[in-house]
Amino acid sequence: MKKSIFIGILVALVALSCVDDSKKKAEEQKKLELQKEIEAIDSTVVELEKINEDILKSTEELDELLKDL
Amino acid sequence: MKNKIFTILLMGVFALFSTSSFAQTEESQTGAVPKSGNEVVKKVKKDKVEKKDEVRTIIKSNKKEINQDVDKKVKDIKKDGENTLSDGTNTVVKGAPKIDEEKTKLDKKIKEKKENSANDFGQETAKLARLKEMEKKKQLKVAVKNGNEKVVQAKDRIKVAKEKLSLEKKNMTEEAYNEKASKIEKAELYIKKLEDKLSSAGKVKQ
Repeated sequence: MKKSIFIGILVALVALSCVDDSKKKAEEQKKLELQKEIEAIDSTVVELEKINEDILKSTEELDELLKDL
Repeated sequence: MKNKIFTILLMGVFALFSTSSFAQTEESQTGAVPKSGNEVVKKVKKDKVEKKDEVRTIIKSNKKEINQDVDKKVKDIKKDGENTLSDGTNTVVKGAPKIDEEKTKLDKKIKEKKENSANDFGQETAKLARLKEMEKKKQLKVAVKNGNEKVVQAKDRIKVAKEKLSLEKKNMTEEAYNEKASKIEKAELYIKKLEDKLSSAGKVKQ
C-alpha cells in the first residue's frame, strides 16, 4: 500500500515536471518566433527607409536636371 | 544491594543539601558580621550581582510576556481577520487584514505581473516594430506616388525640350546643341533610373 502511494506520488511529480517543461519550451518557442518576427520587421524597415531616401534623392536630382532644360 | 547503595547515596546528597541550606539560613538569620574588609567588599559585590540578576530576570520575564502578548495579537488578527480586537486598553481597528491571505495574494499578483511583463515585452516590441513598418510603408507609398507624378512631368518636360531643341537647332551652335542634347539625355537616363526604383519600391511595398 505504502509502496503504491510512493510510486503514485513519484509518477505525479514526473508528470508535473514534464508538463512544466513543455510549457516552458512552448513559451521559449513563442519568444523566439517573436524575436525573429521583430528582426525581420526591423530589416524591412531599414530597407524601406533606404528605398524611400533613394527615391527622394533621385526625384530631387531629376528636378535639378529639369530646371536646366 | 544496588537499591540499598542508591538509597544511601540519595540520603547522603539530601544530607549535604540540608546542611548547606541550614548554614546559609543561620548566617542570614544571625547576620554574621564578616571578620575582614575583604569579606565586606565581597559581600557587597555579591549583593550587587544578585540585584542585577534579579533585574535581569524581571526584564526577561517582562520581555517574554510582551512577546507572547504580541504573538497572541498577531495570531488573533490572522485568525479573526476583519473583526475588531480589544484587550481593555488597546483595540485593533476594524478591517485589520488577514495577513497570510493578503501576503499570498500579493505574492501571486507580483508573480503574475512579472510573467506578464516578460511576455508583454516581446509582444510590445513586435507591436511597435509593426507600427513603424506601417508608417514607413505609408511614407514610401507617398514617395512612390510623388515619384510617379514627377516622372510623368519630367517626360512631358523632356518632350517639350526635345521639340524646342529641334526647332532651335538651326539657330544654335553645334556646341550649344550638343550640350542641351546631353542634358536631355541625362534627364532621360535619370527618369529611367527613377522608374526602375519606383517599380522595385512598388514590389517591396506589397
